[in-house]
Amino acid sequence: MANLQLKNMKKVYPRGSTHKQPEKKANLQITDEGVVAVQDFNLDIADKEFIVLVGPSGCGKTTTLRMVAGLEEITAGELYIDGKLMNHEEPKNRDISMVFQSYALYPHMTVWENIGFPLKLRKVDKQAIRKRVEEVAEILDITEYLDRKPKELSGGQKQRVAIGRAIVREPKVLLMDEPLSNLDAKLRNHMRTEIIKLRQKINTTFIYVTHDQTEAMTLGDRIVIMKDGFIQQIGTPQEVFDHPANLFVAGFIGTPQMNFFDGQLLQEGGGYALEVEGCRMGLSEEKQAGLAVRSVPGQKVTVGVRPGHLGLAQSGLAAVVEVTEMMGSEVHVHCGVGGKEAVFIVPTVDKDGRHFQPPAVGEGVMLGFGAGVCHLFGKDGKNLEG
Amino acid sequence: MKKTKAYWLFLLPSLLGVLLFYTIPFLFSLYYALVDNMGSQSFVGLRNFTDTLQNSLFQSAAVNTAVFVGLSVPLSMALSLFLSLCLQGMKRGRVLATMLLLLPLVVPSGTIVYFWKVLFDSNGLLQKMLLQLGFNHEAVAQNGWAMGVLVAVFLWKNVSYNIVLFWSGLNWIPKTYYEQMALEGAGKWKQFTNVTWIYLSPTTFVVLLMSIVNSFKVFKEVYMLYGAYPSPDIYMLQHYMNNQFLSLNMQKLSSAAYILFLVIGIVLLIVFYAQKRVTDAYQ
Repeated sequence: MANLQLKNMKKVYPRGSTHKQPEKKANLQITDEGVVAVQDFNLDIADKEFIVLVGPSGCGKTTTLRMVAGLEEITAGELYIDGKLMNHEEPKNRDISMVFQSYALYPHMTVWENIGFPLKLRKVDKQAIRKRVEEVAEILDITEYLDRKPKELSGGQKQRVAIGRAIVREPKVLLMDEPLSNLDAKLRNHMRTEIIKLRQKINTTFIYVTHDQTEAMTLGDRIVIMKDGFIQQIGTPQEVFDHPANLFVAGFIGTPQMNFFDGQLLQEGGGYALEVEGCRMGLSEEKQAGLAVRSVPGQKVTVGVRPGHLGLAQSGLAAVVEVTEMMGSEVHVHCGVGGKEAVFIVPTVDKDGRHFQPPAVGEGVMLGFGAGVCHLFGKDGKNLEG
Repeated sequence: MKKTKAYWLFLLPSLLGVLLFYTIPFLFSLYYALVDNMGSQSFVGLRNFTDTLQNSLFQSAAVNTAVFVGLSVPLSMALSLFLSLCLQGMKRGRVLATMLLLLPLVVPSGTIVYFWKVLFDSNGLLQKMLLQLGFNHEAVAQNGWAMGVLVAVFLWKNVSYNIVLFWSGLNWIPKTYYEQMALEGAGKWKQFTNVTWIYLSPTTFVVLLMSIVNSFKVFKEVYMLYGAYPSPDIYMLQHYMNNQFLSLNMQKLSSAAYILFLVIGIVLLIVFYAQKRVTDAYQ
């Protein structure tokens, strides 16, 4: 029930500060001020939008979330909630709730007391608390556990209670910091669907942090992909999948990961052509027009092709099958192409029910891709089509 | 099997020590507590125990000891918890404050006692100051303040140790709970009662146990301050037992020791039981 504006937000952890430092493996910028965990963060979030911040460990996504919550000071930039500057507001005055990865349920309270606690703190009368707790328990399907203590609950149930406690007072913004990371794969998939359902039932703006691109793709209206403290791309799941802004996004979004080949973009006869591993490939008219509009010169490029877009062909890239992974309805075929690894997906059954036999390990095959499906990245890693 | 043998081998030296200097004498003293004297050594049942319990000196020593434990244990716990919370909340100078607070841990008891003696003795600084101010009180250590001085000595010696325990307990509390509380708008007191106190309960029980045990071990300091026969206000069970030992009255000494052992045992059992109940409920 609120829109947010994050303008040029920046977080610097001063040298020698006792605060939790971002993980060392990230290539964060270190200045005289200290370690820059987040910088140039600009994002407008619409009312009731579901935004997912996604990226590898130490990319600054949790720090950003914590700045929104008021748990971290904003070093520079502005945060507006419903048009009101919030930089120096106490967390409690921001009307924000947060679900933590560790659940943070109060161990001495029952589920009922845990969920009702935020209302009790706000001195809501007992009758209203009872009504609201029961409503929330029903939404989350935890009515039967209301009298239990957290230690008697499973991971998934604990997470529901944590969500219940966060939504009970109908906050303007609901922040979720990797809420499903502590759950096993099966439960994670289930809870993901539950969060999608929950979203339809409550009117609030969501900001969700995860390192799991599947969660990002399935949950977000828009996703914000971050790396080393910088935003790499903001867009709908479809946009970032179809038009990754750079090599990082291309490799991060999509499973199996996008294949990358070294190639040469050739400018000839007013048009463009592509040479990959010594093999000429066509480029669709649309792609050529896109390159022409930006006056992209001929150059060495990295060619990205999604595994689903790569397939067996009469002629093309010579490859040798190294491993095949049977996934049920499809097989992931890993092969070596000119010293690099590439993956392509073949269905096990075609639409008429005929079984398809994937190539055997060690077999030499030819791979090709359509003229309109490849992505071209320049030396700086940016998508040449913009 | 080999591993078990190795465990026993490593345990042996300290086990032998405990057996030789604690367990065997302890069992012997049970025998002494049940016979009439060291000469005839005839069995008298529980007579030594009833005699001891009826002894007025023992009674007053027991009351004094109970008062001392009742005052010093809660005070040392409250003070050390308060100081550890202060330390945790400090943004600057924490290292210096910690060093100062932990100083009593490394200063020998004798030095502390000497310091207190200089301050509170009949010719002590405090007495001189009071005289100069026109008061003509007896030495603080010799009047009703004596128990207060003892408690103060105990606090000075034991608070540091408790701070170490509480501080490590505080550092184990996940920060997320405080953040959750901050988001919900809970004040410091609500945070303390709903997070700190709850998560600190296992540590609190350890501190309680250690404080009770240490409070019964205060004799060394009292002895150094006031000698074998202090004023009746601060005549402790340990004085009683020490004096029985000096007069070689093994029957009185042993029966008093067993009564004390029984009382401490019951108190500790109650604490253990409560600890189990509380921590089981949370974890």
